Amino acid sequence: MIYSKLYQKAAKKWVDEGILSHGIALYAHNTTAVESFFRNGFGLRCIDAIASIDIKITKHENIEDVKMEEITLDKLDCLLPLKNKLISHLSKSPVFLTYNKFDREKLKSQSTARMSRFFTASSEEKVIGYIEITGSGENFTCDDKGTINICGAYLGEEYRGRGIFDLLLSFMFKKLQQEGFEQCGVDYESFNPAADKFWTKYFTPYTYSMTRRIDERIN
Amino acid sequence: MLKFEVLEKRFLEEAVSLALTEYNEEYSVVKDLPRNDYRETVYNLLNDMIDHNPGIVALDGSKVVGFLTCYAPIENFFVKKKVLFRQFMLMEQLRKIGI
Repeated sequence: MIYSKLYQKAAKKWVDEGILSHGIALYAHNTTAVESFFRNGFGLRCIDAIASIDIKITKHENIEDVKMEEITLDKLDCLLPLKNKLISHLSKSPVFLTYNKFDREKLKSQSTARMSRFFTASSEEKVIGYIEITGSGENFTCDDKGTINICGAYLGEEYRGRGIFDLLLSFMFKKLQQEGFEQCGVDYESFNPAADKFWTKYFTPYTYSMTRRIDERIN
Repeated sequence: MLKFEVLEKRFLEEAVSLALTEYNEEYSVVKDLPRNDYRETVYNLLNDMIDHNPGIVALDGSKVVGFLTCYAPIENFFVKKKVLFRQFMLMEQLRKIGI
């Protein structure tokens, strides 16, 4: 009730100013708030989730012919095809996110700017999947010095269903644990079925970002 | 009876306390979340929000029991219109007074 009243009064002010798309990050277990915004026309869009990196992920110790490693930034070129496959995947139904494709320069500059680290899975000398991590994320908890944040991941479609990505995550967690990290965060679109299915296997959601887009003809 | 006013600086300290309570409630369920003192972080975030785009505060008498505020609008984010991202924290006190 009060959530609705606060939104009613704030939304009037914002819509009067021509601000017609509203987004809000709610704690995932505050069911009263989530229900209230759902009833006010908001839908789920993005999830922040977290996991302890000492969890046991997979019983596989290795997968034949698949090699896991962390690569250095001077080997970024091998990731270019996968980065662009991810962008292509995100543009398709039901995700419909639009990003510009990467070229070598953009990949290098972005990775350097956010001090990314990349963990890869390779088969027959070819990189088939990766996880990108950074020291920061989408909210204040991500900056915790014991927390590392996943900000990109992809596995070629033809390699899915064999536990390769689970093993890559496990490989990465073991290495990060040795470095003193304790938690790993991830954020993903709830309407990306592959991401939603995979991350919730190991990560616990703690925020739901919900959005509402108001008919622009109102003004 | 509750009243609603513009969220101004004079409500900041109480708003920060409510926000921290909200985080601690989530932490009580999600134990993997970092256990840090975020008072200064949250203070700075809310202070910045109030500077750029005042939200609304719910008052029970003179006591802050909830608020809704936001970052400044972002142009062409998701859509070709202004988009508003709010950080929302409302509080336990509301439940305690039975609303």
